[in-house]
Amino acid sequence: MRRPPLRSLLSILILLAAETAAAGDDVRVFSVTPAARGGELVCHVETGGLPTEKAVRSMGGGLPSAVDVVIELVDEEEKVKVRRRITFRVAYDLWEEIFRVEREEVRRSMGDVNEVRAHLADLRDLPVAPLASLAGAGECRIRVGLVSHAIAPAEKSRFGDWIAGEGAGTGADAEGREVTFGLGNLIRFVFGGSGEGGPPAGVGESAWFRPAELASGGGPDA
Amino acid sequence: MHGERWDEMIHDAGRLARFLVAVIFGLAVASAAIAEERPLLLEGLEITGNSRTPERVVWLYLGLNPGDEVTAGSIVAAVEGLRREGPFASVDSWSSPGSEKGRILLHLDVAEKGFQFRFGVGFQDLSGWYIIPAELRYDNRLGRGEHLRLQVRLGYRTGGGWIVYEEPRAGDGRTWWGARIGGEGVSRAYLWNGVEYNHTVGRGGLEAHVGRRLTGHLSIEMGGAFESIDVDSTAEAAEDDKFRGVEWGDELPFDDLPPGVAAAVGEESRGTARFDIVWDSRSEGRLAGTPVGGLWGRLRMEGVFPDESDPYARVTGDLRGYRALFGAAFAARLRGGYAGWDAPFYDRHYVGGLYTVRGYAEQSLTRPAGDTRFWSASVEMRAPLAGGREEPRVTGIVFIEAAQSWTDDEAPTWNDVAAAAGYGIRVRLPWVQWLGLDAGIPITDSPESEAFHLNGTIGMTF
Repeated sequence: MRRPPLRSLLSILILLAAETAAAGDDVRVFSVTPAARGGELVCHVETGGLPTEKAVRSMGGGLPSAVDVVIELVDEEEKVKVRRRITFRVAYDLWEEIFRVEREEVRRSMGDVNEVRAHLADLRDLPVAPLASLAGAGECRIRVGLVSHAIAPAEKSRFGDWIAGEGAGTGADAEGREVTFGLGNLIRFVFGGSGEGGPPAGVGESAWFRPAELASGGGPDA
Repeated sequence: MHGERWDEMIHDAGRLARFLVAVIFGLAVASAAIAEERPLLLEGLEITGNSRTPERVVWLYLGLNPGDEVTAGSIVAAVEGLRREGPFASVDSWSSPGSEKGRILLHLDVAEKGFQFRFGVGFQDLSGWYIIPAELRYDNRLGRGEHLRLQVRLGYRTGGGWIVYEEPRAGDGRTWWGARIGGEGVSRAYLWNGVEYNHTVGRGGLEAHVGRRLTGHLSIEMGGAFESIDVDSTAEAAEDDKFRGVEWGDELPFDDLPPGVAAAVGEESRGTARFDIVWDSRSEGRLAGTPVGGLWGRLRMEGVFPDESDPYARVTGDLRGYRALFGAAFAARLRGGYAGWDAPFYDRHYVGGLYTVRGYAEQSLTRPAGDTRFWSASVEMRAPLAGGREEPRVTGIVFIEAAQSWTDDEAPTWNDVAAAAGYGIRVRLPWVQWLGLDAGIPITDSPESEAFHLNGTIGMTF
């Protein structure tokens, strides 16, 4: 039997790894539908697998979880024109025994996890961009990625000290600073965007549409 | 009569209703507040994937203990600290209910760090920009959270290599220690007769240090080194100067060296001892990448014991304060230092440049042989220009600063103070954090007659 070339082997391995990861998370975007609401381009997103099992277990103990919805508006050349991140914070109150879903300081209470699942499965009117700013835009589509955090990230995350002259144990009096990075970081930066928040667990795209037609009552191409 | 009684009853009912509403509302607020603030108890830790690192070391990096009261914020901050500074290549975390309501178990799925090949870039006040074309890391091989790296460094004015071993959290987690062996050559720059020269100083040896965090804000560190220093007998022109008939690369022979520099030429072995006291009360809250309050200060005392010349002392103090005001972050810094008269030029103090007073070239405000005393002061205002307020994508900076250096036999005057003002920008990149450019405009005379001086920088200057 002929041995497949190395490049094909690598592609197969990468696909298998991706499928394994996806099976473990099981977070999906079923549909993304653009719409116009009050001068704003919005989108409706249907999802599956939220909240994840790890998130449900974390909430069961009392810690909040979170879902980041990363929304990108891309043009015909696949250039990102707008990128937004909307965070849904989900917590279970151990003492009142209710769930609370919070988005941008708007909080909703829910009786059980099935209500939370139903709410996160149908996300409506997620803002993308003002239609006025897209007046001359050609064909676009909306790409949505979901990033699930079993434990919600801190609102004020602690960053490393990037202030000069503080390295412990250097013994040197000279001011200075250095940064090192592995090859993986560089590849992710060049090819994979900012890398903040990790890669999305589920990704979906809308059909192509023209924002001007949406504003005048048209819809996305079939 | 009957109507008056009815009015009284309505009035009383209204008062009672208002009272009940106030009580109920107050209870609801208190209940919500209590529910939100009620901490959870961390019952334990379940870790998978740690083939080398014992659970004890993981607890040290988390900064938590079984039985601690925790909130969502403290758990997430602890895990982020483990992810950022700990011995693992990756950390996935979630929690589950403990043995009873109000208790949780923290689950961590980790991957041990393997062999890493890294590269990077850096900047030092005395040697300028350099690249790290190769750094080999094999961290946490022993499961103690230790760092082991072999680093090669190459720059326009520096080159060398080091093997470094560090344990950032030893013992109970409040102690750290490390050692390094290696060497590097640094071209020290100075202005002599109006021309910039580079003078190579080679340094190699063994250094070790140990430190301990005494309280939440106070720490101490002691260090010592045995090293050999070799100062070249000649310098090299770093620029063309047609007026003076000097070309880049021209040699400055020993007889023409500045007197204080010539006195240090040759090889010397020595031992050093160092003691640091550090105070750090900076807040964790950030605005424009800067703490919103607090102080950072360090007092460093060194003794240098050369083999063949007299010993001398060096003392430096560095104090920084931070405050958020009017939507911007203000940062102030005051530094000062003293070096004994017997200190050679490479151990003396220089001012001018990114970390003393921008607007002037590095070390250009001090004579080539260096000075024994100095002070510098700087005030910066930092404001977010794009992105979030705490860690914006782009930060704008304006600053004003001053510095002065002199020797023991001089009486400093205000006329000798160098001052500058300027502005800069910092851009936050995913793996470099802050990269920036500052433009300093000298307010007092500049030895190089520059209208402004640009400085590239990694991170904030203080």
